[in-house]
Amino acid sequence: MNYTDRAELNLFDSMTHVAEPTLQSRDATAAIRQPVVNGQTGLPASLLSSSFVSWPQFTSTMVAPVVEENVHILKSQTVGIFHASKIPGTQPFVELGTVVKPGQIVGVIEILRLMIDVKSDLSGEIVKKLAGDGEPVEYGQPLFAVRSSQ
Amino acid sequence: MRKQMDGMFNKILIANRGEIAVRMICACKELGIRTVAIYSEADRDSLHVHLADEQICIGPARPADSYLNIPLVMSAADLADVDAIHPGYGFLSENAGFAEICEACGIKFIGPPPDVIRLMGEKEKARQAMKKANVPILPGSDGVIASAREAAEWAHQIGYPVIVKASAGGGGRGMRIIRSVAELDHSFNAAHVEAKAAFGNGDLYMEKFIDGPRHIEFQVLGDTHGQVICLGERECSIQRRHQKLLEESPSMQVSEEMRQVIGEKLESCLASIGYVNAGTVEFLMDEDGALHFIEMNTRIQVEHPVTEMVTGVDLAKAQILIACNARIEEIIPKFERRGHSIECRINAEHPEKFTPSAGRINTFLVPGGPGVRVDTAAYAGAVISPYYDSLIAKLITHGKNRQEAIIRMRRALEMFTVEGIHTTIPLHRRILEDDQFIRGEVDTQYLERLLQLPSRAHGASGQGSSTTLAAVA
Repeated sequence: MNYTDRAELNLFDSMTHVAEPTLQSRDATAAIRQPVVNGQTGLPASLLSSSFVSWPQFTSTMVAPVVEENVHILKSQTVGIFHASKIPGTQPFVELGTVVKPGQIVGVIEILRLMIDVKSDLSGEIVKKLAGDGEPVEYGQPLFAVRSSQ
Repeated sequence: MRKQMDGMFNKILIANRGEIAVRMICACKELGIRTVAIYSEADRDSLHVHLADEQICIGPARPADSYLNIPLVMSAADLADVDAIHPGYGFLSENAGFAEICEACGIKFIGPPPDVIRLMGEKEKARQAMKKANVPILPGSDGVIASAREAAEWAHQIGYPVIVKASAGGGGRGMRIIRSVAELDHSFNAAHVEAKAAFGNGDLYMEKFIDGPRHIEFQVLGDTHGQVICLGERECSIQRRHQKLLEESPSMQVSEEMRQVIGEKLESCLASIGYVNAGTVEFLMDEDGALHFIEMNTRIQVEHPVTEMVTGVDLAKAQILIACNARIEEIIPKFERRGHSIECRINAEHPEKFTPSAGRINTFLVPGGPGVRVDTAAYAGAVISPYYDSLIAKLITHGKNRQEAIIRMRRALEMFTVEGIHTTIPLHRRILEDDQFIRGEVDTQYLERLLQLPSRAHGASGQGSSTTLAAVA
């Protein structure tokens, strides 16, 4: 993807509060929160809730082992915009060196103004950030490298 | 998201895969529009991904988690900042809800307005709309049938055999042929249950059932200024289990007068309901040569190239231009039909058993030369995955008459080499040598009859049938 020139996209600027959870996945590991922008969501609520819109079922972050021993890649399980923190400019969910537990939120991915938590499903240390804050990500794109503590 | 309603689009997302995605990329390239391919994990190495200007992986192989998933498609459209979405055929192409969401997001859906998609999607409403415009429809129940008892009354009035169909349906589900009153109760109830389960709506209607009809369809184009033009018909009778295999235009059974009369009725009917963009109106032809409307497809069809070949109208480009509010007369300043065109669908299937044949294509040699066109997303080294439909290429020929189109198709099939998977090429070679086909004696049961005959060796029969063809022509 080549979206480096995409400067205008900053959907969090006008975000006033976050209503949660509006949708939940099968095993509830990925809660989807819906930001309310000036009292309105990005899409008409009637459309989002209509029967022909079926949201994908997010189970957990996809994990793939990589070259280095014990280092795993957390991949994006959807197409959207990756956010490292809840609100831009504030403390990111994780930093390099942060030790995460299974289920811990490491970022959020925004799909059509809906926020999907990205959760780690293993214990370990964040050794590399592979996606930039506010960067568009596609399905299967690497987000973090985690050194497993097992 | 920007939208330039009266100017040309800058960027279009193609919400499809395979040959139709490639076809739309061709049209966009010729119009100077950037393209965005979306793809599933299984399509990482697909040609449409390679040929588009931008590409976004939206999910895993299963269509429900990728190509059919509206939030994911819209998320990609949002990220890529596109002006319009072309849905291709299948997937979301006839989903009125998807068209509505595109509209709500300020992205142009390249197709008819949502309410028109919805109207035509409800088969009984579509029938009534056509009936009102004096388009001949099959004798049938006027609207939904409330009970088995009412069904018996209708069947008596229409005359057996009859067919009950799901109002919300398609693809054969919720459909039953009823040949006598003894079968009525059971079949009606079974169809109702099936329709309810498949479409969430058990409404049924009834039509006269025609044994061994021809399948003939008319291509239309409507603009946003209220003009609709009919671009003639396609003969699509050669099919297996409702899957078309070979199509041609014009049909040998449609006279110039019939083409004119039906065309004018369709134009006025569709203009009155506000039809916009490309569409296909499907008819059954009975043994007396009378046409009966069955349904309308509100999208581009697989077999659109045969119409393009005989009319010279680029339907894919026309779809985009219409979505930019161009007028029909700007797109088609002068309309005339020329010659004859045939399309063979090359599927990754066993040519006689029709079992899907997934796997890697080792050799892919495409024919060329005068009057030959190949629409495909396949290449040597490509893997045909089991997740999607089996169409790997459309081989299209054009000739000054049917005879030349047939001769060209024969040599093109002979020159088409696909190795590594089974394809329908040998079956097409058989059809193109068949006397009944050459005489134009085809109906929807033609293929079944052909497959019951012992197959002849292909190489040896070449000369013999050329003689037959010359004699018929």
